[in-house]
Amino acid sequence: MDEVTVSMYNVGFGDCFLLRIPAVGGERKVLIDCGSIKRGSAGSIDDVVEQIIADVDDGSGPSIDVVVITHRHRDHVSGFASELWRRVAVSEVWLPWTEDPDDPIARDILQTMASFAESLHVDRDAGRFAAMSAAETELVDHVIENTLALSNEAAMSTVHRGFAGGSSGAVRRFLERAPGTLDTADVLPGVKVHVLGPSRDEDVIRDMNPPSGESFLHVADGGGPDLDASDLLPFEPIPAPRPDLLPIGVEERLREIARRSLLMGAVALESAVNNTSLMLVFEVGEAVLLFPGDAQWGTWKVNLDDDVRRDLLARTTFYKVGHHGSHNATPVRFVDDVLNADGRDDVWAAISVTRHGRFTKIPKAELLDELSTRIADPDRLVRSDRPPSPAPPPMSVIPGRSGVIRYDFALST
Amino acid sequence: MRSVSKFSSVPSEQYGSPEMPRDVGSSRPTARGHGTLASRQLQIYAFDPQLGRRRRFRISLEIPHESLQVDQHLGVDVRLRGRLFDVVDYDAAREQYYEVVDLENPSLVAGGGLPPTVDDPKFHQQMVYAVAMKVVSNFERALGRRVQFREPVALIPHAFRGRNAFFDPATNAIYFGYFRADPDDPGGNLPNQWIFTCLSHDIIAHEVTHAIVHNLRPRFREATNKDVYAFHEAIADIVAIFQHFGFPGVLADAVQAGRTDLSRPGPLLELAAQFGHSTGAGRALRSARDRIDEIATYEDTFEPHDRGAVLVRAVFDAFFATYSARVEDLIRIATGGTGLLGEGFLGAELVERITDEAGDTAQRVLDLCIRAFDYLPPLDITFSDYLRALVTADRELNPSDPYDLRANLVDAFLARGIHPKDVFSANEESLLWPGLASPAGDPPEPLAPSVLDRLAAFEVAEWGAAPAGEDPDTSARIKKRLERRHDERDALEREVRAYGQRHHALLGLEPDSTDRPIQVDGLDLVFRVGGDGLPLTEAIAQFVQAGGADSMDPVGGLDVRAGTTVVFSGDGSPRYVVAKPLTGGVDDQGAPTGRLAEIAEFIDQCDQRDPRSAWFGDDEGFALRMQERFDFALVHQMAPVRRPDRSGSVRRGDDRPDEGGADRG
Repeated sequence: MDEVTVSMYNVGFGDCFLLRIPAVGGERKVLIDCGSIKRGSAGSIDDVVEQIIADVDDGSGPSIDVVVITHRHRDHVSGFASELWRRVAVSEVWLPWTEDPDDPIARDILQTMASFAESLHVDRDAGRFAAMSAAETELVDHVIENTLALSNEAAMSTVHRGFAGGSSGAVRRFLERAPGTLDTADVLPGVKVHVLGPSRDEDVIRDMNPPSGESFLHVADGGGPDLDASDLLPFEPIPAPRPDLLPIGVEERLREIARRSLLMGAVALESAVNNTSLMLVFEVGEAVLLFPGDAQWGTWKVNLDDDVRRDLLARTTFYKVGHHGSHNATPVRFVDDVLNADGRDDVWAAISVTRHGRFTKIPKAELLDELSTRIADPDRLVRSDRPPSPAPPPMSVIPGRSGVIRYDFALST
Repeated sequence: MRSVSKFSSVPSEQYGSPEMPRDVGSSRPTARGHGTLASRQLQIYAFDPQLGRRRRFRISLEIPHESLQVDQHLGVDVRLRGRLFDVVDYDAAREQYYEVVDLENPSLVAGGGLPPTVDDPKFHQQMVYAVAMKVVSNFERALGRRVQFREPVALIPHAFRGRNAFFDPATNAIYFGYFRADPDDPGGNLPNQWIFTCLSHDIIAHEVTHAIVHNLRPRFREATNKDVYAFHEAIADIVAIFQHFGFPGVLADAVQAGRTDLSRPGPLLELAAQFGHSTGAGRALRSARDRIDEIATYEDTFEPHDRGAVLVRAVFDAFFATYSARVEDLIRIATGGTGLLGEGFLGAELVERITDEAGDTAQRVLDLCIRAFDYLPPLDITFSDYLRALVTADRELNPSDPYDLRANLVDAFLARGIHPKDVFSANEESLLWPGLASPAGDPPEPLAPSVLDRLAAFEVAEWGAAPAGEDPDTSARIKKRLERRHDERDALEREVRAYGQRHHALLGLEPDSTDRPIQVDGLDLVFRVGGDGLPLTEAIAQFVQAGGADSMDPVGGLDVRAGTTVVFSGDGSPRYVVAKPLTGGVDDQGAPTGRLAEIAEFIDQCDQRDPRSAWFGDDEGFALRMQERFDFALVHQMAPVRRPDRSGSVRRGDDRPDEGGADRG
């Protein structure tokens, strides 16, 4: 019996999965994301990259049929900054349509995101987040680090232009939500690939646009104007000394709202990038593998509302849990009403995560509880930061320098 | 160091009188001989400065007259004070004040205020005050009683830099932001031009409506279901857009331009045109009508503004249907019975008559939308509750309903998927709120006549002038009068509270206890003239009851309560009961049941949609996340406005930026 093997690399807080799919003419390999924002127990992302490259080399040099980049967050792409990828032969690179350099809407979205991330960066360095709590500062820092185009530049260069390939290099395909399946006869024969997101629907695109910097409140912090003179209204203020006419608490309240407003902006940016996530289903015989990237509610909803796609999701036998197990990337409706609707005992769910700073709700305990009611075999609900010992079949684990670096799951087709 | 202070800024006490609060120097007396005027005329931009480049969109607004005080500081006018609003022009981005306009200046009184202009902050203040008062007068007219704030609401026209404006209950102020137009897509403005939210009629009216609604139903800030904030937004838009119908000239233009069809796109039905266009959205911020290929329905929406739009459009659907029925005969008369209008311009008389009908219909629908407040529960409002309140309110006042306004409302709500729950049918008699059913079949106990009498005296005093011989502007006397009124009001509320305690079971409340006291949230007497010309008097009491220990389980910081509104007839008999009992509790497994379960589900839906969910720690932020999400100040911010396709051509046609019907003629 042919099996699909899913390998989950222990990247820490990030995602990296390798599929090995049986096919006529030899096994096909699909790599989905390779990034980390906080190292895991098995080593750095570079250690993981070395491991992958060894894993995909069957003696004739490293090769991968398809590299999938779900979205450009650092925790999904940082591994591609490594020079080692130049040696890897890749046939196709699949990206969300928002990465298409020839698409004017995509260019505009990326441009808006980049400039907003940059302005957050500038605001932080100018000390405008000084009034924030440690937790809030950490969140903003995370968003800046995860999103800034600069820090992802080397990685995105590999993704868009790198890898070894045929005469013309690896083929880039920019995917968008569409009915039916993708034509993959050459690269993945016998595999049905369904693209569930990102959509080009107006509402979804709207969610990809982070709010403009003008959306946020700017107020001074009690020490006089913090804007440039050219950004002050051209109206003459009342000369000093100032009167004191405001209702109690106005100035403090405005400062508080300005701070929260910026924080919401940072979160909106993070979310906007997640909304560009490529959401794919690979169907190989009975095996149905769901990789939603970090897709958020809008993308999920449109698929859960679509009868055909909901039926497909109901047949999932391997679920890559969205966004490291956070609550807003896996709808309750999916877990409760759709996932494993037939009550099979061989359905997997895998969470790639490690404890990261103050983000104690990742993974979310309630989600893990819900998932455990849908995943009949407790051994098949897997967390990358909790290696089982010993690994129960049909899972196997591969040790790295310190901990488990790779988890392999066998899925029957 | 003396030598330094000697040369530093002038100490304020040198100018200020010690009795005055803080460092406000003096108040200019207001009695200048025009204190008896019935109304005040003030010029405004009908919509905003962008549309206001055209002469017909700079208009004079008539608002109720009140004596305004102008506070001075070092000889400069710094605050305008009325009964309901203070105008203070503080700019938090530079931590400075701007001088305020003295609207009692005789030349401004005589000349209808300053002419509209973007470059004088004094005109900005005038427009904010004028539009705020217009909203108040619409509420007072429809409610049949004075709008009362506990303290005057501060209007701050240039409060901060940013693309936002909001009412903030915590500081009892409305903050208007200013910002630069989008550099790439300024939509009919200069790139980077200053845009002032305080110069948008719609934004002012919207925010002032939030403040008044908050005053009428303070517990509508508890987002206990997905309609509550949507309702706040919807009412604010409904008031703002219906006020367009009262602008001289604007409505007649729309009648002519649309050849009597008012549902055509144009400024009449749009909200905050300049705001939308200047932020790169390619259209007005919102609209009372659907865009092509889009029908906003109840099921499909969640975000408060999107969901509110469903209610706004349902109300306008009903308005269009009612208006069409009202002008049908006029069109037939004007067309020799065919009802088919010929080519070319409509005759001036026809436009005038149709405009009258349109204006009157709009005012009636707006009045009804506001009057329905008295028939709303004190908390946990749903759109379905609102439909029932609209039907009940209109049936009370206009039993005959000659143009089927009620039927049109029901049809429009149903068409958008708003389905009243737990009613026998969608017919009027099923939708009316129920009466107070006493189990033994005895007539329910009436409210004591003395309570109604005292309430009536209370309200009459509010409408009337100050008693003869009393100087209305002496603050000490005003203060004493207010204190007397507060005492009297407390006494009345105690009696009504006792009524609620006696009849708690009929009101859907638990017995009064220390844990779960029954409180009176509001008590109002209403005078109205019915459609039959007869006066109608009603007393409205809002009872609320704390949820008790069970309901304090994780609800994200929401204040969960039971609440019931009772409408008493003029004779004291309870006529309608609008109950929101707090059903359910926590079952053996610790899971919520009843209304608590619905609230828990709503919180879960919010968690799923909120990108911050992943980042709320185990701390206070998580426990109070529903408060954090539903803050008037920030709820606007997450609503995206940019046009999806900024690089392609500007979409024309349906969403064409309408610069005021320039295509006409």
